[in-house]
Order: sequence, then structure tokens, then C-alpha cells
Amino acid sequence: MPDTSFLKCLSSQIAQFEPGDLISAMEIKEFIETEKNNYTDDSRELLLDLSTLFHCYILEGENDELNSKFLELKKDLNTLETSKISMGSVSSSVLIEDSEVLRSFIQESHDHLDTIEDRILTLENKSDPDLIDDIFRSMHTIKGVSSFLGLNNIQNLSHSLESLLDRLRISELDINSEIISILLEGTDILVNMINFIEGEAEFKGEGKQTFSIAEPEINFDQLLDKIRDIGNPAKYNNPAEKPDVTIEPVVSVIQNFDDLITEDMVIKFIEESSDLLDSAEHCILEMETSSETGELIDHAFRNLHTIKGNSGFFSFVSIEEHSMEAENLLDLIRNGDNKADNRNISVILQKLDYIRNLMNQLLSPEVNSPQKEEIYKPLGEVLVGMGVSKSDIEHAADLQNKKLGEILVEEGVVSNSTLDKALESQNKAGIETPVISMKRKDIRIDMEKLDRLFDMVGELITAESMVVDSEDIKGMELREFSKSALYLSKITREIQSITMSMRMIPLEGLFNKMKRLVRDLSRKMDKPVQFLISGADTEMDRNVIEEIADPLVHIIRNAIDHGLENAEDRKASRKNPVGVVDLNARYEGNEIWITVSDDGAGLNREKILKNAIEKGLIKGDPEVMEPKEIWKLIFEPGFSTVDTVSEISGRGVGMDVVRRNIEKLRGNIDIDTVPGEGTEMILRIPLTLAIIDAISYKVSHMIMALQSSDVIEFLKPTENMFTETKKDHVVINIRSEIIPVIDMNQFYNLKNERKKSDQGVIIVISAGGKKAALVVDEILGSKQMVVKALPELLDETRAVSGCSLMGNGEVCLIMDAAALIRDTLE
Amino acid sequence: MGAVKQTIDDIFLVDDDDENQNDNKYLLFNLGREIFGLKISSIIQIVEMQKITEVPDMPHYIKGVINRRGKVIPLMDLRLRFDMDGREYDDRNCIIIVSVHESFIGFIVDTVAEVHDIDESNIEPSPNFKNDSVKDRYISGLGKIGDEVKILLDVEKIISDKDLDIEK
Repeated sequence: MPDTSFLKCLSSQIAQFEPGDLISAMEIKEFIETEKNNYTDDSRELLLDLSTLFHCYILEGENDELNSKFLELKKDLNTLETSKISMGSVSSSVLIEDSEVLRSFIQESHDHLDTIEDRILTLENKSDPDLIDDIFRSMHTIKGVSSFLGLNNIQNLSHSLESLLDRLRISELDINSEIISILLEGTDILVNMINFIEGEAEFKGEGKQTFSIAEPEINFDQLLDKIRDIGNPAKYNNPAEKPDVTIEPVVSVIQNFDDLITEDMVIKFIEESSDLLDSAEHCILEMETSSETGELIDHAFRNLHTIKGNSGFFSFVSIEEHSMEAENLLDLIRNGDNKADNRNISVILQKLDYIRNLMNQLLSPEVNSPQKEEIYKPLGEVLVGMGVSKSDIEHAADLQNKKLGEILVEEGVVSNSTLDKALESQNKAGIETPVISMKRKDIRIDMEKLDRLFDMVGELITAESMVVDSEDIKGMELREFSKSALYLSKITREIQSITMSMRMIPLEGLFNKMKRLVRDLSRKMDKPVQFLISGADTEMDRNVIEEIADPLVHIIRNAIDHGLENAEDRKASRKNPVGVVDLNARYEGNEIWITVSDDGAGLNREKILKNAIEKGLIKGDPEVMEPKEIWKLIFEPGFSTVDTVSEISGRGVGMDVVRRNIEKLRGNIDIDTVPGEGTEMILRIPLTLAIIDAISYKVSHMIMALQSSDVIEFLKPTENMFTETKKDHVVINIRSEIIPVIDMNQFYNLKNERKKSDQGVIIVISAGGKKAALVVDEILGSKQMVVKALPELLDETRAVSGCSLMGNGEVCLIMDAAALIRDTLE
Repeated sequence: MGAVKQTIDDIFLVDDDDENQNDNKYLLFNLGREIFGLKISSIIQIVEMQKITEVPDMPHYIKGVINRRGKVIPLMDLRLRFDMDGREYDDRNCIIIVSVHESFIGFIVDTVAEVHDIDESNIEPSPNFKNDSVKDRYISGLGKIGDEVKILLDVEKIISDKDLDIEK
């Protein structure tokens, strides 16, 4: 009974689901929908409800109504599941003999499937045989390991997908949206099955080496049928409806043969060839001492032959030549026409060294490399690419005596500036290829270990300052000690920065998830969208990436839902009917900027103002408000869409969540919008979250700290600077600027034998465009702090974003200036 | 007493190898005149009283946080939690650090007595009185050792009980 395992899988996913987690919502919804054929009469209604609910989550974000509905459905699902299971269905089980193998299979499959999904989506836009190969290989691995483990279902499905890919690979089929959908669907099912197994393994395999797990019985027969039917028009009842499935001749592939050679391929070729060379070299060296040379020669010969073939394909002529010479020599030795003596072996080894050098030159950016012409396009081609007609170039090429560029300028075909540009891009092409390093040498590390290491490094720094700032040595003249202390601190900083960099991962994974989101949203809302991604290799702390995932979903959803107009409106305003959403990440100073821009209608000032005034969000005269201030209104918690109909003002959906999440990361959001041309949102996230420059101070018995960048000045106030406007509402006059006063003792209701506001020290802070004067008891100093999260039980504390350990081991609370101001002032 | 304390202090009580053996073991401690027990499998460490950093906005029985090997651990005074009278801390007070849902919390207790086996057959459910005191709500059972009755506590309930939110 396959639907029980489906339900089991679903309910385990739902049990883990938290309403705010949009990415999971997307995944679960996808899951429910792909499993349509598993619906039974008694579950259909519930499943449809669930799917609608998650759809609402994705579109509207979290709200109370949905949450209560969610809990209701969750209960129903559990009831349904229990009733099904009690009906006594037994799913077949698989005996796992080595839990380690299973675990690494699960891990590996996740990795593979993640990349597969991304590659399939890329494939939709651009048919690239290399990509198909990659997907094919990943699928093949999954198939192989799953069959080894006896997971028949996974093996079956991956096998079918693999053969489908194989047909794509040999160009028996052409890629079309149907195939893409099938591949995606298949991948989804695989992911679900592996998730299921992962759950099973965790549940049953805890601490055991051998155990058996139930095999996921997701029904994918329909998908298998589809795969079988593809490219087989006879099976369709009405083949005319599917004209694009017919077999296309191979010609199209050959036509863009030049485009086939990508940087990646070159790098792969070099990687592969270096391995081959190494092993060939090893064989040849063995030949010197060994009497059994036959096999060694054969092996070396084969390797060189492969290199020759591949370099021929890339038209790396000199590599091809050298490998052919070495190959010939080996052939002679093999046939007995030549002896494997010292001299011959030296010659072969020399050849191998040549080849290796040539390959290194392909990689290194040296300008005078003999291979250079092989990796960058001739100038003529570049110019053609820039819109200069081919005949002009050919004409110029006739006058080969001069440099091509000069001639073209003389002939007036191109201007000097165009030529410069062309030359620049020509150079770039030559340089960009080689920079990428040969091999990624990486290992997988348990995240827990990494986090632990991170904690330990934090402790190390604390311990270091305990020693260096020890009370016992204060004020003593210790020259040698100071020197060693300085050395120690240099090392700890370095360890720290290495540890930090270990936790950095590229944004690629997150961005790829967005691809899927955009694809789905664009289909659902029937708005064609071109989604551009750049800077996906920008690296961020893993924890931060988790935090920005949700805001990013909100922003992109809003950009497509409310930002982009529908195709008709776009045509009417003479825009390309396909909307553009651009997602970009880059480093700016010590921040990372993630930009989401669309070319939609832009924010509407009037509508935002109207909505904000209705909701009472504006104090003062809206006419004098800066545009930036107006745009920021959409982040106000009250600025909701519940009763707004218009497209543009709908941009408030979940936006206060976005702001809160970003502020939690001590980041900022900027909005830039031009009516009719689009909107740009910039998330500015500080590069290191873990370490801040902070100013520490005392309030009552507590040590607190503020980020230095939020602090403007300190001052020792005199009584006449304060004015009490109302009871407990005090303002201070600093150089004729009126700033509201927040007494920290009052803020936290501390029973301190408190001096009045006119004692203590004032810290003027600024955050979110507002200023406030904090009254604290004593300023302690300024230092770098390692930020830790507050323990769960304490995270309700107002206006505190984390804590840190002081040199003496005491805990210091790190204040969130923005939240503090928000909590006190309107 | 000092010597005994030294041995208890800093001993990691949870040993991965014999987790099963710890199932029936309870750490007994005093609050006032009564003796309470906590399942040893949830206990990470027992440390002596140390300087506590206050945290604002917390219910009165959350005394603050301490730094234990780089981990910031919140402290709960069990006397105050159970609506008993508070008491000045002295060096006989101990902090029992337990792990719940992958996070840590320290319980401040009067003194730690001993570790004792209590077989499941010797544990009885606590009778439900109509006017439950705060304390009664966190009892997982009553353990009998000879003639004595020890109150066994449910760590999860102590921490996650609803009145945590209400009192805030």
C-alpha cells in the first residue's frame, strides 16, 4: 500500500515544518503535488487543503489564520495516517548492514540531487552536453549505490532517469519543457525517497550498525510511463499534440560546436590529463626496473592515447603532437622495434614533462604562453561579436601586413574606442580562463565539529584576554611577557580568521533555491520572468545564509507578485513582456550587499502614503518626507495588504518580517525605486557577525555593550540639560538638539538605588535614523567581542541581540540599538 | 564536606558507554527539608556556586547566566521556582547543569546529596491534589528508598511550563 509511506513521509515533513519557513513550505507543497497519484478517496480532500494552505503560506507569509488552519490540518493528517497504518499495511523492508555506508549514501545523494536540480533548470535555458553529462553521472552514482544497498525503488527510478538522460546525451532526444518537467519531478521523488530513508535510518538505526529500514513506496509508475513514452510518438493517442518530442537530427549539436568548449571543460581536461600523465609516468619509471613491461607499456600507451584524443578535440595542437610522439615511441617499444632502455625512457619522460608544462601554461595567466592563441578568440571574431560585419573583417584580414586592429580603424569600420573594448575583452578571455585553480581539495566536515571549533576559538580569545589583562599583572613592567603576549594574540587572530572562513559557504545553494521559486511563481502568476543571478560565489557565514533565506523569498515573491506588471500591462507600457528579476550579491567594504531588482512598475508614492496615513503610521507632514523614508514605510508592521486592492501597495506583505530578520543580523535594507522602471532592494549584511567592535558599560550589576558603529558620543550631563516633558518622559538638550532619554535602569525595571537621570553617563546612540540618549552607570571601555547567541530560555529579553564573554569570564549582554529605540519611542 | 564537594565538582556524570545503566539512577539534592531527584541521564555537570550575571526582563526565579567553558548557561533557582522562600547563597549551594532539547540550563539547589538507584517498581505517580502547588506540577513521580520518599522531577516540565510565559 504505497500511500501509507507517502503519508508517513509527508507527516514527518510537516511535523518539522515551522510556519515561518517558506522554503520548507515550498518543498512540502511541491511534494504533495508531485504525489498526486498517491491520493486516495479518503485523503484527497485533506491533501488538496494542505496544498492550498502551503500555497497561501508562500504567497501571504505567516499569519494567525493560516497557522490555526495548519494545526487543524496537521491533526487531521495524523489521524489519517494512524488509521492507515493500523489497517495493517506492511511495506517491504531492506536490511542495512553498514549504517556508515547508508549515511554516506544519503549525504552524497543529497549533494547530487541538489546540483542536479540546479543543472536541470539551467538546461531549460541552454542545452549544454556537458551539463547533461554531469546530471547523467550523478544519476548513475545514485543508481549504483542504491542498488548496492538494495534500495530497489530508488534504483529503478534513477535508472529510468539515467536512460532518459542517456538519450539526451546521444542526441536521440531534444530537450524540451516536458522532459525538464519529468526530470524535475523525478528528482523531487528521489529527494523525497531519500528524505524518507534518512528519517527511517535516524529512527531505527540509532547507534546500531546493522538494522533494517522500510523502503519508501512512493508510486512513480506514472512517471516511468511518461519517461518510456518520451520520444516515442506512436504511443501517444494524438501524436500531433506533441510535435516537439520527435527525434531531431544531430546537426544542431554540431553547429554550435565552438560554444561547446567551455572553461570548465578545459579545466576538467587538464585535471583529467594530469592524472593520466602521473600514472603514465609512474608506469614508464617502473619499466626501467621491471622485466614485465608489457602491461606497463599498454597502460602508459592508453593514457597517452586518451590525452592525445582529448587535446585533439580541444585543438591544443602542441599537446597533441607531443603525446603522439610519445605514443609512437611506446608503440615501437611494444612491438619490439625499439628497446625500453634508458635513453628511450628519458625521451618519453621528457615528452611527458613537455605536455605537463604546456598544460600548466593553459592554466597560468602568462601572456607569452605558446598555447595562448588556443584559448582566446581571434580579434576578428570578437569584433564580429560586437556587431562589426564579417565582410569588413575579411577585407581587413586581406591586408594582413598590418595589425588587424589598426587596419580596421584606418578603414573607418570601427572607432578607436570600439577597438579598445574589443582588445580588452580579447585580453580578458585570455586571462580569465586560467585563474581557476586546478583542483578543489576539500573534505567534508561535520557541522557540529565546526561549530564546536568555532566556540573553542571564541573561548581561546577570551582566555587569552583573561591572561593578558589579568588583575595580577596590571601595572607591572613586563617586557618579555608583553612581547610573547603580542605574539600569542597574533596567532589567535589568525586561527580565528581561518575558522571564520571555514564556515563561509557560497550563496550558490540559496540562490539556486530561488531559481526554483521564481520558476514556480512565474508559472503560477502567469508572468513570464527572466531571472538573472550574479555573484552566487560570494561567500557568507552558513548561519547568516539561513537567516536571510526567508527575507529573500519574501522580497523575490513581492518583486514578482507586485513589482512586475502582467504581460499585457507591460506591452501597453512598451516594455518587454518578459519581466526581469535580478538577484545579485557582492562585497561592499565590510558588508555583503544582496540586491534584488525588478523592472516592474516601481513603488507608488501616493498609494503608500495613503495606506500609511490610514493606518496611522505617519506622524508629521507627509509632504516633507524624504522618498527613502516613504519607501521604508512598507516595512512597518501595520502596513499590511489585508484591505488593499491595488497591486503596488501590496508590497507590504511580510515585509516587517524581512526587516526584523535583517536587523537581527545587524544589517540594513535600502530601497531604490523609479516609477515605471522598477524597484531595487538592497540587503546590506555585515561581513562578520561573530565579532564586533563594542563599547561596554555598566547598568546596575549588569555589563552591557553596544556596537561601536551605533554610538555617536558620550557625555557627562549636567542637570540643566534635562527637561521632563511628561512623567517619566525626559529629553536632553545636546548642543540645541533635543534627544529623547532612555534610562537603562528604568527600561529594565531594575531596583537600583538609582541616582536620578542627571547622574551617570550619557551614551548617544543612533539607529534606524533615530537618536536616543542612554543613561548608564559607568562606561567600561571598548573592545572586540565574540558574539554568542543568548540561550533559548532568555531570548525574550528586550532589545538584546546576543551576549559575549568578558575577560574575567563574566557575561556581557549585547544591546540591539535599533530594537531599543523601537521599543521605547514611537 | 569540602573534600566531597571537590569530587562531585567537575565530574562529567554522563558517560556515553553506559547510558543504559544510568536509566534508573537519580541525583538527589536538597531544597529546604525536602529531598528531590533528577534523572541522571539528563545531567551534564555539577558545579559550585559562582558569580552570576543578571539578565533583565526575566521571571524572578531566573537568576541570570553563568559562563561555563565558553557556554552561556541560564540559571534557575529551584526554591523560587517552587514558590519556596528564597535564601542567601553560600558555598554549600550547587548548580546542577542539565541538558534539555539540546540547550543547557543550570538549577540552583541547596546541596547535592548523592546518586541513588531507584527502580521503576519503586516509583509511584504523584497523587493529584485538587489545589496543586507549583511544585506538584513538575513531579514525574515519587521514588521510594527504604522508608524515605524522594520527589522526582520532570526537567522538561520545569522549563517549558506555561507559567514561564505568563509571569514574564
